[in-house]
Amino acid sequence: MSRDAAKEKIAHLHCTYFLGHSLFLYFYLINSETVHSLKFKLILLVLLSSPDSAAGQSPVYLSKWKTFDTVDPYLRLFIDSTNSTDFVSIPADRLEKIPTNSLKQTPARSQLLLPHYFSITLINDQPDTAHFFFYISPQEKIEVRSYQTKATSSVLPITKKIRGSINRQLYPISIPPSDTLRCLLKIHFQQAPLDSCYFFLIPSAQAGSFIWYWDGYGGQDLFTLIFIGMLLMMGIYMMVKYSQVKRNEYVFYSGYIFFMAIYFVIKQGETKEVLFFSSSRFIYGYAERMAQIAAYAMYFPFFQSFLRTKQTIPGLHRQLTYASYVLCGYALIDLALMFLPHLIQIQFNLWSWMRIALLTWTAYAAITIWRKKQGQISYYLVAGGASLGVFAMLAMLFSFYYQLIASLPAPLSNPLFYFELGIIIELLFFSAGLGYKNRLDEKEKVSAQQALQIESERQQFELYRSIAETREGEQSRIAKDLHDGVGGLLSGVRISLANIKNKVTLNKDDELIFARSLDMLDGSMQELRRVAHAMKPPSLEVFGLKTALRDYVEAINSMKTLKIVFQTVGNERRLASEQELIVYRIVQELLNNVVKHAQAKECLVQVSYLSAHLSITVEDDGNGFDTGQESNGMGLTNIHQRVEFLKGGIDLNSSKQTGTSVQINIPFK
Amino acid sequence: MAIRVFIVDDHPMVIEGLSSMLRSQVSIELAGFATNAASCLGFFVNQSVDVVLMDINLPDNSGIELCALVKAKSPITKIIALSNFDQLSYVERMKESGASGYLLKNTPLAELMEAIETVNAGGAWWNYLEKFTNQMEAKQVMMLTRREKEVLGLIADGLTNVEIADKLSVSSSTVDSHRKNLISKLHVKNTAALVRFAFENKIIGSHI
Repeated sequence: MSRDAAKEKIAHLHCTYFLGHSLFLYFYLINSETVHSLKFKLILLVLLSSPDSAAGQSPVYLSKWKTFDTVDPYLRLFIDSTNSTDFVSIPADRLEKIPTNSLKQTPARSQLLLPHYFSITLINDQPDTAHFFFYISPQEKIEVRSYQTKATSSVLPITKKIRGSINRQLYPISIPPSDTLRCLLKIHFQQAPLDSCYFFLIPSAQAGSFIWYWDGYGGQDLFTLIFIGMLLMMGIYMMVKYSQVKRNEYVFYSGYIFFMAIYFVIKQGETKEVLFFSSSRFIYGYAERMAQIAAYAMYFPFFQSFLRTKQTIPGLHRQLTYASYVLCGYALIDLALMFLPHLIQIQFNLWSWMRIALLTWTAYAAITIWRKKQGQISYYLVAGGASLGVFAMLAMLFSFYYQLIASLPAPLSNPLFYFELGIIIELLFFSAGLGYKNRLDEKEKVSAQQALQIESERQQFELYRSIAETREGEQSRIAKDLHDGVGGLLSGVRISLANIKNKVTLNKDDELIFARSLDMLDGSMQELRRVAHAMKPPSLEVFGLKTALRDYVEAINSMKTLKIVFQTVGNERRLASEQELIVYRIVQELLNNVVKHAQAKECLVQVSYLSAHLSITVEDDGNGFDTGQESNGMGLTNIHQRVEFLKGGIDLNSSKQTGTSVQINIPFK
Repeated sequence: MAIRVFIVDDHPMVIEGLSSMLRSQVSIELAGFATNAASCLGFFVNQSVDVVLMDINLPDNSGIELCALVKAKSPITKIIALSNFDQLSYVERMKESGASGYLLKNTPLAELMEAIETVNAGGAWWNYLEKFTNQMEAKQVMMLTRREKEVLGLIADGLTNVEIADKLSVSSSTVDSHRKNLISKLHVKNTAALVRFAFENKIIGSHI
């Protein structure tokens, strides 16, 4: 295979890079001719010298010309014409007269607003300096971005760089003797629409013979630059996100985005750089492939960790892992082939088939995920992939049938734009999916935490209750034994003794002793009742909290030292018996405080059954205490704990002037 | 004519003591005794007495219920509770069940006799009840506690929850709970109605 044919092949394969995500690749492989259907006519005219040509007024004469029908402004296509026989040579006597005016009025139909890059290589094989002029028609703005000459002695030193524009004038360039000039031109097609363009290279009178190459390129555009910027920002954002949530899919995702960005950067760089050194074209080709391989190498693990395929679809998980291995293997083979330039054909074919395999794999994975219905998350993934596929196909279609979009304003007229749009939409879906998954995970985490908290609260409650139950049960048993057993016996003894007293006549001293004994017995019985009652008020279980509290209040009232007003509001509602006991203990504690410390005259105990909770207020007119002082030894901590245990609230307020007021609110379950 | 007395108590010793005590009284005729509710009711199937001395704490049923059952079977029988319970609630329950008197077991014979005679004559013996001084029924028009009046006064002064909380050095949720309690207690719909109530009853911040 000749070098030219190889280059042609390379050019074709490069086309597929852009269209890679599309199954149209198959069509391309079936019929590679399709790619030529895109027409953009660039006519290169090499003119014989004309002393007056600088003025652009006199007729100029064609010496050689060629029409490049296949120059594709977007899909890189390579036209290499080292062989000047490619050009039609026109005998001097049949030189065509071309009036410059007519060139300016070339009818135009399609629109090409994007700047385009062209490079020209001129080799001066004469001992004299050669002079040329550039001219382009219709009058478009040409920027000579750079040019350089290769001194025969050194390897590609850049001897001179100029920037400037040619507009409506001839642009002069000169080539030192026995030197090569490579020139990068950026052409702004400002006078669009046009469908053909004449590019003139006019040797001056002194010019010697020269050999030249011509290479045309699709343009760089603002949209792609913004797109790359967006990719980079997104990649950075995903890295930041990873540092927050520590989930693997963010690493893979940002990796995928970064490599995509690198891929597009390479594409952009290629536009400029490859024009100068055709050898670097292969390096770029390799870099491009590797960027894609790396992107895919991130893509599959992203699939895996995003959908947790290891747990949900283990079969697919394994296959995706194999795909990653295959990618690594391919990367190594490709690297090896880089050192075997004569196998370039194999290298490109391999890559083509690799792409087909990857696409098939991806499609298979997407279908599997779709069929397995892995919840809403998989829809994001499949929708993202599908939109990329659709847009990639559009891009492919438009690059084949360029006229479909040619009349649209930039960047819509650029097929690459559709591919980029596809990636944007895909990334939006994926990001939304990640966000959605993140939210799900958060929810899960929160509910798990809540469940844990509820469980620990419940355990605490159970513990407290079992302790309380055991203690109270014990107390209750002792109280009952004391009251019913010992109390009953004492009652019997008391009655029997009273009987004896009635029957037996005692002397005065003995009678006194006897009466004192009876009094002491009465005292013991009273004390016994008091103790039993304090342990477990029998009325609490039988009649409920309200009654038990009133009994307690009345018991204090009967001592005549403190007057307690007992009020109830609303209809009584029973709480669970252990809760009632806790509330009873709280009020007992509060009233004990009033009796022992407050030196109050009056006290209010109000039990209010309100709609959602039980509210109990204990208010006295005593001397109060400092609520800020926690170590007041009045069991306040204990009261707080008990209220908290019942999930209730407490308002404790005390002042020297008005006394103490405590309100507790206990919710009904 | 002697007063026929029946004793119900789960402690034989008490029954014995009471019996020997009452036997010495000419005005009393001891009709029988029971150590549980069932045998007591069995007695009343075809007999009757004037007065029953009834313990509240019985093994098979409480004296409170037994009292009502006996009264149902024999309405003319008067019942005096003779118990070790010294709580107001028991006294009240016995009264509600139809008892005519309440005595603690260490009551002196003289008082017991007086009670039996009073009850038998159609009277009641609630001396023990008098021990509980109170005005239980004294329903207060204003059921608001001092603290609630304070909070209501501040609400009426137009202070917000946060301001009140600041002023009383409590949390605003505590203030809110007071506010809800007030609304619920006074059976009003909202805070505006609370404020109206405050003005109508002259509960205003500065008065507190």
